[in-house]
Amino acid sequence: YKPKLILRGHKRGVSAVRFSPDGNWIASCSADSTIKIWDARSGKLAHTLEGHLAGISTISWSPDSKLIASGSDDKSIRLWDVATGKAYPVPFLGHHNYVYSLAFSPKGNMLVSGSYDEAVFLWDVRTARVLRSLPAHSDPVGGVDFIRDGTMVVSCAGDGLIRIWDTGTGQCLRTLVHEDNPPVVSVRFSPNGKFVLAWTLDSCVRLWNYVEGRCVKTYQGHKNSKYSITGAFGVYDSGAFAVSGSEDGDMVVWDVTSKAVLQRLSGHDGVVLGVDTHPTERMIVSGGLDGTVRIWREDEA
Amino acid sequence: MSFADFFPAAPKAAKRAAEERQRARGKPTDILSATSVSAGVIVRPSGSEDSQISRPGGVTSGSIIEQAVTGQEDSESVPGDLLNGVGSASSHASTVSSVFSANNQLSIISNAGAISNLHNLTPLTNTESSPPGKAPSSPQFKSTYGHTPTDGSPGFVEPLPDSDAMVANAMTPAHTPLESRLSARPAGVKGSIATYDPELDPKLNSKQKRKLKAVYREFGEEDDDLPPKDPRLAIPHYTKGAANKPKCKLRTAPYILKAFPFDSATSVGPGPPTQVVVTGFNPLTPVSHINALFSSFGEIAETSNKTDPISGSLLGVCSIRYKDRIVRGAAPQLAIDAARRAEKGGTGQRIGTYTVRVERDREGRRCRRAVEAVLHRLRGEEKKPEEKETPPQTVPNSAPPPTAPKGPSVKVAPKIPEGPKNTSRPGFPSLVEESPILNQLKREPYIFIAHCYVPVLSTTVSHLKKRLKAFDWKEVRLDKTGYYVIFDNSRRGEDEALRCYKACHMTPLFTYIMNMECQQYGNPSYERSPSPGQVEAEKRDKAERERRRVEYEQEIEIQKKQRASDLDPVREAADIVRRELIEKLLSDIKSRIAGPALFNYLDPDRHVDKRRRLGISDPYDTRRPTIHIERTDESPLAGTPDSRADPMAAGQRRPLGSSTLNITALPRIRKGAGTKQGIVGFADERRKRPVPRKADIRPLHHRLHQFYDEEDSEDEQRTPMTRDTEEQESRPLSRMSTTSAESEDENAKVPVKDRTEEDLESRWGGEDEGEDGQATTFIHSDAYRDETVDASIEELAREANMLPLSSKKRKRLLKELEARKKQREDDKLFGIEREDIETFEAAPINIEIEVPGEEQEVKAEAETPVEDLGELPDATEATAKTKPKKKGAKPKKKSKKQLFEERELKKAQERALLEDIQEEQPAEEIEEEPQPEEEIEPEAEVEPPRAEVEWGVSSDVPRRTVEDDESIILDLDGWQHLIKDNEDLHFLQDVLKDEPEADLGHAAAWAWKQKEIKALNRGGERGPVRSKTMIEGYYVPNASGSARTEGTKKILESEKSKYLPHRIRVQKAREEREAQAKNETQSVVDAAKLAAAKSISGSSSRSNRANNRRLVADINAQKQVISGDADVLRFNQLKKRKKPVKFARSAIHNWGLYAMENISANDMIIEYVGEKVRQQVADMRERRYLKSGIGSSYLFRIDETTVIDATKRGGIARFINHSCTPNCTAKIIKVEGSKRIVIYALRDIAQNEELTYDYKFEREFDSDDRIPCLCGSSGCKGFLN
Repeated sequence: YKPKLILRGHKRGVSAVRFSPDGNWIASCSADSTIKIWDARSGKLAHTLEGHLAGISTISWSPDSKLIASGSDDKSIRLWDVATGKAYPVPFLGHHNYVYSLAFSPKGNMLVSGSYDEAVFLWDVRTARVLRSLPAHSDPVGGVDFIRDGTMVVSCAGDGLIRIWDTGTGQCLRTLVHEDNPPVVSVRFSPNGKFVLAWTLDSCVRLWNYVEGRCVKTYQGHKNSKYSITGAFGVYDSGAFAVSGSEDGDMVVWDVTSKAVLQRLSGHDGVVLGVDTHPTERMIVSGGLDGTVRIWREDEA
Repeated sequence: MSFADFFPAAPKAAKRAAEERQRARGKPTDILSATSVSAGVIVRPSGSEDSQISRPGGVTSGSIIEQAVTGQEDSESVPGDLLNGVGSASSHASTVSSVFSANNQLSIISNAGAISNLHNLTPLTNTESSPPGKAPSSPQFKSTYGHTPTDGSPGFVEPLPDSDAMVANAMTPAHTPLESRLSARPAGVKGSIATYDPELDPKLNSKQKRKLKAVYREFGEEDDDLPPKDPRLAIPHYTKGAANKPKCKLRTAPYILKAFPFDSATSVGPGPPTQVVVTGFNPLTPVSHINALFSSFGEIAETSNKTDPISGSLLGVCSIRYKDRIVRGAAPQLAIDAARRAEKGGTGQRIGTYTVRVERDREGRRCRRAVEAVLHRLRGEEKKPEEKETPPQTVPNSAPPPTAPKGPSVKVAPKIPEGPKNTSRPGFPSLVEESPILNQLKREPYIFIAHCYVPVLSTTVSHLKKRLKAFDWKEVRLDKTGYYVIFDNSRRGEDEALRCYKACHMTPLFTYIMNMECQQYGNPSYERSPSPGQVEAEKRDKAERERRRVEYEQEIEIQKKQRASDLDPVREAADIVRRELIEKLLSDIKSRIAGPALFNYLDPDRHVDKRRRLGISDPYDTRRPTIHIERTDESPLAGTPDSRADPMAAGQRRPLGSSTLNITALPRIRKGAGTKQGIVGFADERRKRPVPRKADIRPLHHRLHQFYDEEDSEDEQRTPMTRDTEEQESRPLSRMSTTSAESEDENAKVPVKDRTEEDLESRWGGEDEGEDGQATTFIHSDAYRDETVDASIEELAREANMLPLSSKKRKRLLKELEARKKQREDDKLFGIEREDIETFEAAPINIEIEVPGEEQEVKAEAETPVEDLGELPDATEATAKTKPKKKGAKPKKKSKKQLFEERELKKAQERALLEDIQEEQPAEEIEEEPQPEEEIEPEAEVEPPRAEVEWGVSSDVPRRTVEDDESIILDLDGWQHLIKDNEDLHFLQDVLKDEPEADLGHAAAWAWKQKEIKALNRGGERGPVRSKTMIEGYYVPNASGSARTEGTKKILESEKSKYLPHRIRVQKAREEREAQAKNETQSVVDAAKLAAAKSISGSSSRSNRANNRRLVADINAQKQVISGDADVLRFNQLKKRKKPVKFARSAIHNWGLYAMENISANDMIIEYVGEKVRQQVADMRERRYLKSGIGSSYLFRIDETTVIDATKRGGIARFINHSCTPNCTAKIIKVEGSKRIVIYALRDIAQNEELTYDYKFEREFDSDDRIPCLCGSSGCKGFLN
């Protein structure tokens, strides 16, 4: 992967970047309480979404790529229409502290949010109401994600627990905890839905088989002790990779199966907070505390 | 009866049956179809006697054959009537009668029971049961009597000891068309019945039989509704049961069952009456007498002598309830019987002189009715007088309606030929008069016998007459309420009536008691007509009143017309609107500015010296200071001294600018007027009047000083008009001024005017002296000037009467005056301004802003005629306006500055140099955005005000003033709200001149976006707002902007308490409690400790111990039996007593344990389960846990060497949190030799209460790492250790 574009525009640190599910757009959110939507290929700024009263920690694309949900320090979650750049008038209110992580359900009808108030809420997107409150954790919820089919939600928190929830019933199906239980800052389901990738503050990324409840792989090589760094899965020629930001400004790409570091991408000044991979193309986008969004491409040649 | 009848299984009979069957199969068509049979059986609705017929006998107990007598000799072919008593519960309620064929040849089994067609053979069952081989084999011929399918109940087989012939009759061929039967049902023809069947004719041989055809008769048509006659009744002596006496065990006669006696235990519904109602006795009879009489019938449970619910007088109705009397050794005397006896025996008994009537009364209804009747009678008599007023309806057969004053006998029907003494023809319909007689009675003495004593029957009249023939009555009349025996309207008649009453009152008439009511002086409620003199006087009065009223109305009408004639409707409408606007404005000014200012100003202390200095002795001045400001009704609050602070908020601005009127403000005025539209219409009426007499109008301060009047208003004498106007508390200021001004003009009251000016001048002088840049002084002087002007105006007004609406001369004068005043003001202010601008202080800025405004005002006045028109409102208003303006300016300026500073901070890094001011609305401010909006808005709204001007209202359209609301947040909207015109902008520019310009890209777009954001975050609210748009509730901004960019850090528990909802809740409760218990904390703690100690000491209660022992015994016994693993048992033992608990998020710590049911004190709740480890291991583990960040400690020490570690493996008991005032306690008990930790309830614990116990950590008072306690209990020690 080579750096391709550097998108500047955020006035403060970029907290999350996401490719849209259709691959056309990149959304980045920043502590300057704006969301910027960029063209994934040309890197042109399409929209700047303003409306939050405080910095934005997380964004999530709806599966149809038409909506963006953003969770902000102002405790609200807002939906944005990508086409018009306007926010839906009714914010999702209910969290008692910063909204820290968000994920759309694959059907787009639900939203899961994790917050500093230690709660995980399942929202009905249409009514902007809390469907279910998952009394999950005793520390700020670091990350949440929906499994591919939408039946499960994973959440993780600073108390070191990763919990798998049944979306329909709100039952906690599984609790994954490493014996050292370092704070878990981010979590993602693997694309096949069999594993959970969890970032912990002991500079490890762990791959959990949540069915068996054991840690399958531990990826190391990056630095992560303070920030809640996220990453993504991707594919390359010979298999799948996992990519994560690092606090030293690099990005580390591991082979999922061999745990080998495939590549180390440097460029950011400061912590790389958000990394996402393009759903179809060989593209990685990253955002860091330096306020830039960088697009990386695999060299075809 | 034949042998075969009873012994169908006998060979002969069997053979015959077989033959019959063969025959039946051979000629199926000949056989009567099942349809007919089934249809022939008709369920008769149960009659009363039928219901009594019980039909005992079950299917299995053998059928009882009812022998039918047939006309045929051949007894063999005579079928018996089989009554199969189906012992159904409803058998007594419905009876099924069979229908016999007409020739009795066929008899159909009639089957009793609710199920009608038991005896009918369905084709299917028939074929089944008819195999020839089978029938003989059975001892009793089995025939299936099935239901037709339509009956919906299963057919059943019953033993049928009947003859084969009978069977043959009953049986139908298998192929009997089913559908015919089905279709026959609903049709009119229910079926056909064979009246003659050759097959059954034993006299015929087979050949003949074949030749002959069965005769059928259709039935069901002719007597659809009527139940068919019970054919059995045709049997001689049938009902007596004699018809077939020798053979039949069945009792044929209807058996009349005795009604079940009421048994309160089993019977449904109210029982037979136990109550009687006694009527007809003297109401004054003591209850004891009644009781004495009626207790002879049974034991009285309750006697209630009914009283009038209103007056409480006795009504002569008494209800007596009996109760069962238990007599030992004998049958109890039932209340029912007592009641019955009472009814029987009581009626006709006498209480005192009266014969009473006794009726049984199940639920007290009769009693109620009787009471109602009595009451009705009583009330009816009361009511009658009133009814008298209304003309009585004409009685159909009566002569002229009784409108004639004195025609007592008009009611006598002309058809009655007899004289009054003669008996009228009984039953003559006219005897019972329809209209109440009482209303027709006037002075005649009469005796009334109410209908409840003697029933109203026309026949009775004659008897009554006869009965009373000893007395000289005039006539006896009768209406629904009773009898009226009317006497002559004379002295003699009165005497006679009295005599009659004395003689006959309460004497019997037949069985009735004549309970009379004597009115010897006629209808008591009849009123004599008033004397003619009175009438005359009254009439005169009335006429007078009427006349006055009419005159008054006419006057008003004329006035109205006059007004209408010289009023242009448009103008009038405009006037109304204007008045409303003015009123509004005035009230505003009054409440917000003038009142407080005046109050302030009029403080006598302030002005004494000034006055002295100036040598002015204004008559008003001396008085006014003593006067309190009185508020108008409209703004009762604003005038209180507090409101002095308020006027700062209320600014008034005169919009300026060459092209624009004050636009933004105008719509609001209109709106205000619009909303008051209804009132306007109403108020208009009142207002119209004063218009021509404007002299009555009082100036502003009259409203402020309510009791400033006596002296002033000597000459404006209190005409109704004055009163009128004064009622209108808020007289529009501008109008007042105009009129007064006009009056001045008209009358050329030079002296007055001079005086005004003089006053003014003097004020000004004073002002100048005291000026020193002190805004307050200025304001005061303004207010003062206002006062003086008012005063002068008032004087003018007093003299002025009718004024034309506008006069140029006055206008000019006014203008001049205004201009002069302004000039002075401005001059003065300019001076200040100069300094201020230089110093650039916040306070001076106020004035700075102000000055140009005034300047412009003056300019505008001088130059633009349109403006002039608008300006016209006289000095009073103008000054009133300037005042607020000044006041408003201050806050505005300040806030501007604030904002501006804010902005500065915010955008410090992006500032560029400020551009020059080129355009009309330069982009100088940090907010450039006002420009576009401002430009648009004015244009959009210029039109309406202009239209208004053209309306002709212009002469005194108030210039809209602006209220600068201090509380408006100065964001974009706030600014736009504040900055009304170029001038404002200009000042803002000046202020912000040296601020670097921010780079916003496209200003308008930026502005729009900001507004959008604001709207978004305020739920769509737009425009100026009064609160900051901010994040509600707990919010700590992250230094780096957002939580994620901030990185994670440990959140302190105390911090968490600020935002975690459950903690907040608990915290709140705690705080509340603390506040509440602050003074009694100590006692509470003591109490808690005491309670705890007490419960601990008594923890091993007896029952508990007993339970334990039992349990242990149980377990031991079990153990012996199964001799299983002791651990399991031990576990079981503790588990068994475990209380249901659950864990959930806790306010104290992450998780807590909650009781799921109420737990009583000293109950065991749960065992603290975990790994039992040695001390060393525990220490090691603890270190490890600490290292790995498991903050929570789940180690529980049992003794010196053993610790239970529930961290990784353990029961949920580990979730129990610490509390300083716990509701549980942990005890180490020995169970089967091993030590266990068990949690007991220390006190009664309610459901969903969190379980807590004292961790009893060692106290580490000096330690750094003390664990703060969050238990939130009132006795919290603050730390766990």
